[in-house]
Amino acid sequence: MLAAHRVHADAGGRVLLRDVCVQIVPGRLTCLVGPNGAGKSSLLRVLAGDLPAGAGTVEMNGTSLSAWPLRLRARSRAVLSQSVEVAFGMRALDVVLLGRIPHQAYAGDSSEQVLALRELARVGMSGMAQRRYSTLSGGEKQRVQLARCLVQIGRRARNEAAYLLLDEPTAALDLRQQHATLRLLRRRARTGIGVLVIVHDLALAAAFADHVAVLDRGRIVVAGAPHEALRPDVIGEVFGVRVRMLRSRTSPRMLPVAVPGAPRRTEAARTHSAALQVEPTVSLPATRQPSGTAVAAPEPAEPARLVSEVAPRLEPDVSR
Amino acid sequence: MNGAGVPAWRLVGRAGAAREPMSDAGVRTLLLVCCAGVALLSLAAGAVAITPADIARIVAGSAGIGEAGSGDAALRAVLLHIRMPRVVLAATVGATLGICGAGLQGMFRNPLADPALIGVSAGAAVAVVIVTVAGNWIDPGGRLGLTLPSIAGFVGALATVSLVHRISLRSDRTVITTMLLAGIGVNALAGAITALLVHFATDAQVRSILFWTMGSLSGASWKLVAVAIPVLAVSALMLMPLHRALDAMMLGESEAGYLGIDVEATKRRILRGASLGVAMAVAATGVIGFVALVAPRLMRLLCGPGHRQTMAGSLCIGAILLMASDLGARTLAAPAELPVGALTALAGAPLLLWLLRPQREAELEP
Amino acid sequence: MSVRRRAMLLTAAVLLASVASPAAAQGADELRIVTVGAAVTETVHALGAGDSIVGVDTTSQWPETVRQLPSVGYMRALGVEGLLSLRPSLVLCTAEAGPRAVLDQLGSAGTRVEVLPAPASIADAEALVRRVGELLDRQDRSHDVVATLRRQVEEARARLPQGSAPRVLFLVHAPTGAAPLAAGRGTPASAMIELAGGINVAASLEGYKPIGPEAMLAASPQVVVVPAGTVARAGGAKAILQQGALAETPAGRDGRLVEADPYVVAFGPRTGQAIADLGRRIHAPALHASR
Repeated sequence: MLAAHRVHADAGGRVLLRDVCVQIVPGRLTCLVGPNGAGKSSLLRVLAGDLPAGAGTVEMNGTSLSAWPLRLRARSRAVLSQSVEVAFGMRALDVVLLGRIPHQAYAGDSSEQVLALRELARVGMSGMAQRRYSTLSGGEKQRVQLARCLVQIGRRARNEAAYLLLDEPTAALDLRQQHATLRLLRRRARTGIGVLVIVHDLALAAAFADHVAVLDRGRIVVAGAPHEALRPDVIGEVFGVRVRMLRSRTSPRMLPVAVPGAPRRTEAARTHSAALQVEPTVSLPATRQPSGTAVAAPEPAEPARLVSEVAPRLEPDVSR
Repeated sequence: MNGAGVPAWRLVGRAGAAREPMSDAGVRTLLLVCCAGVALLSLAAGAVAITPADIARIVAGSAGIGEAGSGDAALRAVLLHIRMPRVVLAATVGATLGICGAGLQGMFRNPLADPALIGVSAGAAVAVVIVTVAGNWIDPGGRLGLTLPSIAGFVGALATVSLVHRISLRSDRTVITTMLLAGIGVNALAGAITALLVHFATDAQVRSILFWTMGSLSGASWKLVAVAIPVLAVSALMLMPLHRALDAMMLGESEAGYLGIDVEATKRRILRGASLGVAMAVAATGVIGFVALVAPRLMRLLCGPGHRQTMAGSLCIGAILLMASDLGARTLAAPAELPVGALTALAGAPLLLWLLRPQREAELEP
Repeated sequence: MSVRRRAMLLTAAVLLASVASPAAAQGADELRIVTVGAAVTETVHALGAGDSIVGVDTTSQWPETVRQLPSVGYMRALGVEGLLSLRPSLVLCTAEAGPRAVLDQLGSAGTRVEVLPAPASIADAEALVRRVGELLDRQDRSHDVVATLRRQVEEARARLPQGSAPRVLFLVHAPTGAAPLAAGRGTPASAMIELAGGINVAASLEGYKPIGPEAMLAASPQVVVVPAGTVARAGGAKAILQQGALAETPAGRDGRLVEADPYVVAFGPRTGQAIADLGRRIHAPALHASR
């Protein structure tokens, strides 16, 4: 488990995070949502070890993050930032192979190449390995970077937990690829990886996440299963947007869809959100196992019909 | 390259497909062969005509076989004490400039980076000028291999890089963009001081300084080689293991950190290694430009952007470039000598331009 | 390149042949001199050893025959192998020759190198002649040359017009177009100007220094002297004289520009002629006008 406990962070006098507790559990896909400037990227950087926590602790697999040697840390957790520039004329395959840098045999091995190609195929970029990275579209670049992250934590021992922290990986992707990516991430989470994804699209979060944390002005407002965290009153309070929950016939999940008009602020909603401010986290049901075994969580076969009507149900090319 | 057993993705030839880099082993062999060839040619050619028969006779004579010819003593002196140290110096200085250029280009993440950016050459020049003018030396070149002005140049180069680095530190982090600006500022300052001092120098000193800054391998001796090679080797050994870190830094500094690289330590090590190597090169041979810029560039075009190949190959290409330029410098206008810095530019520039021809431009990155 | 290669191989073959044959025995008997510095070259020639010169530097231009000889390059950027390839038995150079390491290497390769002080006055020129005479074992001849030199200098100086002391400015233009350098005191050019009966207006400067337009105006030269070739490079005397502040000086207005050949400031054996030549030109009214 990659956990932040009562973490504070600030930079240049500005408070970024206040008393934040969050757990990234292997086997689970966690979505981090919140308005712009809420501190989502800062939280991700704290969990990654890039931004030091002013107070509180960050632990990975039981050991304090600062005690982890840099290279070992990199073998167990991969980070995908919002924008990644790549210098020099690298091919897509070269970029993916960079993910093996924390590992002993790097790029010299043909088995490393095979691993890289497999991950490229899994993100739907098979056949593009020799393409020059700079000639790829924004979405294609994102997918190559995702493959790079997957390769970075690839080939672990069976009981070694690994983590994937992604900052808006769906930003430049079209609708089909957004869903394909999240589906891929959830599938990988099931293999024992703790995945944290920052997304802006609440419907995506509601559709795919096992766990959602809502961040607002440096604090965790609510965290829990999607149906607990992504409620109209919470969304109205945090985002100032009115939403209606839509249910699909094929899945039990409810998806928030924004509608015009001011959010409804009932007394219940106000007191509820006030109560939520005091209690930063909602404890999880005890049935969830933090290990890599299969989780007993409702798993929608596909996203709600409303959204999927426009997205053809195509799987990315699986490597042959 | 089609055929059975080749993975499917290699057969795809789309628009925008990268030219497949030559196999590593192939390039390595090619470079080593070229290096050895140029070295042998440099030893065999020069203003003094030494035929292969002479070489054979001299070598045999050293082994105690056969009788010496009447002119052999002079030829032997030329071959062993004038030409050989010069070729060895050219090879090692060229190799060092190559790998320092590769390291700096990796650190700046820019293929146009050059040691001059961090103020090495300007710092050396200013120190040499100060000592030459103040100490009233006529000639900064080496009598004992390294004279006081040369040593001053070495120290000046290191001090200048240190200053540039200090300016670019923000709470223990080296900020690259600040370093670039600091380098520009320090270069300008050094240039101004040099110009002022040159004003007070005598005519003879001015000309000597001018020729020193143009770079020359003339006067290379075994003494100079013995002093230079250990320092140059240390520089290369400091830089070479950083290839993995530099690969990671191609994604940016944060990402490199996420890949487990200690980015600040890497930047410090590259600065130290590169400044040591270039300072020694400048102290030994004056300012020779272009090699540090062109060698890594050529290597990347041959072998792709991986830093292990780039750095190792830059050693070879740098050596080849400087040996060839020096060969030209001392034979093209014999018995006069041309400035070697002009020849490295003459050799490197057309090569680069040829590689930038239109059909290749789509494949090249800036 | 193949032509050069062939030439080199041919040279090598000839050398080998000459080396192999015992009768050639080039060594102590044959005198092969490389001279670096115009004054040195001319002195050697004046002492009658001109045929022994096998290589010269770029500043040596007289007599015409030396221009056909191999050039060892600029005097401050000599190359060891280049010098050795001429198989000199003696290298005569002024103190300006360099780099020092090259001269040292020549010495350790067994070649005799003699460094002479660069002459900047008549006394220096005489000393140079005497010293070279010693080195070449032509002392008698050197006495004659010195005597001739003295006589020519005295004659030249006697013939200078009395009562006329033109204000002279010696300018060296850099090809880069930066401010020209004026020959201040302590330079051979300055000494020559004085010997030729002129006044060096730039005497307040030491050595070659850049001179700005205001200083040029204040100096108010009546004649401007430039090294030979400057006029051609600038595209005419007018181009030089009309430039900036010079146009407002008497020299510019009267169009008095003199080109001086290198030997004029070399202080070699032809110093007497140099004085006469320069004297005639700077005292002459309005020469080289409207070229």
